[in-house]
Amino acid sequence: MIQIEDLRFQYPRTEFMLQLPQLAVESGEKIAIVGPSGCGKTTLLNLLSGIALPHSGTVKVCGEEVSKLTDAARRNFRIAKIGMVFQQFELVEYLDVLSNILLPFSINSTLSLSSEVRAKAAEFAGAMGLAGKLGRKSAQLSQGEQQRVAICRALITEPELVLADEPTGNLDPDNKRRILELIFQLAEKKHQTVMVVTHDMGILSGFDRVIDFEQIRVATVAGENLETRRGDMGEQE
Amino acid sequence: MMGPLRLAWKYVFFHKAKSLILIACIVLTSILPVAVKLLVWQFDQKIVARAASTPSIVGAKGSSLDLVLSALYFKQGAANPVPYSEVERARGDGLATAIPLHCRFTAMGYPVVGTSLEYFGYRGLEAVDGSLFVSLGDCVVGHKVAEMLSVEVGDRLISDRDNVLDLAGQSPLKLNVAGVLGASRTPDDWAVFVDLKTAWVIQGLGHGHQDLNKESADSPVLLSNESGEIIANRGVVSYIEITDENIDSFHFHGDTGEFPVTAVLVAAHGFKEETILQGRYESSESEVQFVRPEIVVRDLMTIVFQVNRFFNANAILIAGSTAMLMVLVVLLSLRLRKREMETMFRLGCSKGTIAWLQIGEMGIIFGFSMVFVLMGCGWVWMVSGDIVEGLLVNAR
Repeated sequence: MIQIEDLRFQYPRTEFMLQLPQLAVESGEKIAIVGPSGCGKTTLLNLLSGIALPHSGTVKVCGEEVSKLTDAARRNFRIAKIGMVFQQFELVEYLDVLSNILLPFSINSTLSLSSEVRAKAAEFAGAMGLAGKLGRKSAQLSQGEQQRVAICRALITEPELVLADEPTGNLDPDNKRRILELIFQLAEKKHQTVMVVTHDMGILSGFDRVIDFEQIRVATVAGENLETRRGDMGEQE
Repeated sequence: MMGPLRLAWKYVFFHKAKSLILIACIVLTSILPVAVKLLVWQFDQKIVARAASTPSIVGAKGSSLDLVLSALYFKQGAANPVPYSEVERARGDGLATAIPLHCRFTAMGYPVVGTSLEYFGYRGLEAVDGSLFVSLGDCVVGHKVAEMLSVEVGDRLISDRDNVLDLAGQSPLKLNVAGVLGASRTPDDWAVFVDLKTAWVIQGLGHGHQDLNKESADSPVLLSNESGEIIANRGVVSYIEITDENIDSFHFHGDTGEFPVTAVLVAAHGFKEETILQGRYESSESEVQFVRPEIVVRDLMTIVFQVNRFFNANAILIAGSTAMLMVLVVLLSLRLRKREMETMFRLGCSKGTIAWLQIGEMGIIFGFSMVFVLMGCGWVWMVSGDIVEGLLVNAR
């Protein structure tokens, strides 16, 4: 699903540099990316989704080398293959729940908004416990509900890869657990790969693998290969 | 394309207050100059048409504009009177049709115009109800006067006192409504027409009272009756209404040739006759002037258009500053919505679609504004005639 080799990326006029010698993610995996602020977690998501382009190295997602695609092709790739969830939910305030879920269809001419899609959006919302709130604006929802709408929006296009940037960062502990469970449940149904950036060490138990960016930095400086840990996250907690 | 437009519509609808303020700014900035232009155009059309339908006016020397306004719009007190003999002079040698106008008094607030029956033929006015005035004390009311006062044939209108503080002044006269004129959408709709002699009666130049010849020597109203010269005291009954019974008692003292008229409408029988007539009035000793209303009105309109040019320049400045403010609003709005745009971009929205979203929002705002501007202009177009008519009528 994801293959990264010798990735180097630097923002203009900054000293920050992301270096990732190697990373491979299998289809259907649930990956957590942890690390201190400013270590490049969100940048990695941007590189995977084609929003940012590497200075060198290769980033292959779903078999496509993202940096070699044209702007339009990269955008279409993002629409077709990737679903994104953000920390601040980023719902559109003037749209109701249903319209927010269907937003990718409103802003991309490559997606057609059919009655089947609408029905699917309503079904997703129902599964997320938002059935009676389809006509509400985001300001009328709780934070947990807003994030659930954002998850529906990310999954409505049935992407192969779901990238979530601190999706539980603004939620209370109970909602954190529920939101992650929902993401995993829905992703498992479609065998989708999930990559979640988080600071929250308390939610790592549900992931297949945790990538610690602090370790990557140390390893890169020491000239070693990237180490990732699978399974039990007890030590991290 | 429909997606961004639908989103744009939802944005505009969600931010109702902001959208309405923007629409109001555009509508007001656009509609004011257009409305003023329409009004000026209507004003020009109306005033020039009225002036063009009146070939020449003879009146007292002084302001030609006052004379024209007095003759065309029955503005009271605008022009000094000239003697009735000027009417005969204008008719002299059969060069022209001369129509006297006496515009000094009002009845129930509407101008009472003393004139001759020729006026109605000249202006193409006909009574749609009743007839034109046939005897002293009759009046014919304009279409709007009849409508506003709810008067019909057979009703009475009372002339207003010239000066309410002058208790010794002439009494109001009850006018018998003999007819109602058809609508002409001219100042004639807003006037009460009487025979010139009736106007003089209102002015107190003619009057009617009880027949003192029939009074006995010991009548309390007689002071003396010696050698046919009857002197009565103030107890004599003066009539304030002209009826079939008392009409014969109405009479004028003095030479009617000296009685006042405000202006004389002069319709020469041809260009040559008009030139001859004009020559007669050109003399510097003459106490009267001969004016062509169309020329006077066009001079007035030249001033109006010059003022309008200043207004247009002002409107352009206002439009410019409104446009700049709108650009500022849009820029600030874009800054406020940066995250929303960024989210859309991350979700796969192209920059072109984001631009379309913005264009759609502004398009909807402008579209609604233009609809309101068109509706407003249509309304102004429909009522501008009445507004201008009202302005001209109220100016008197």
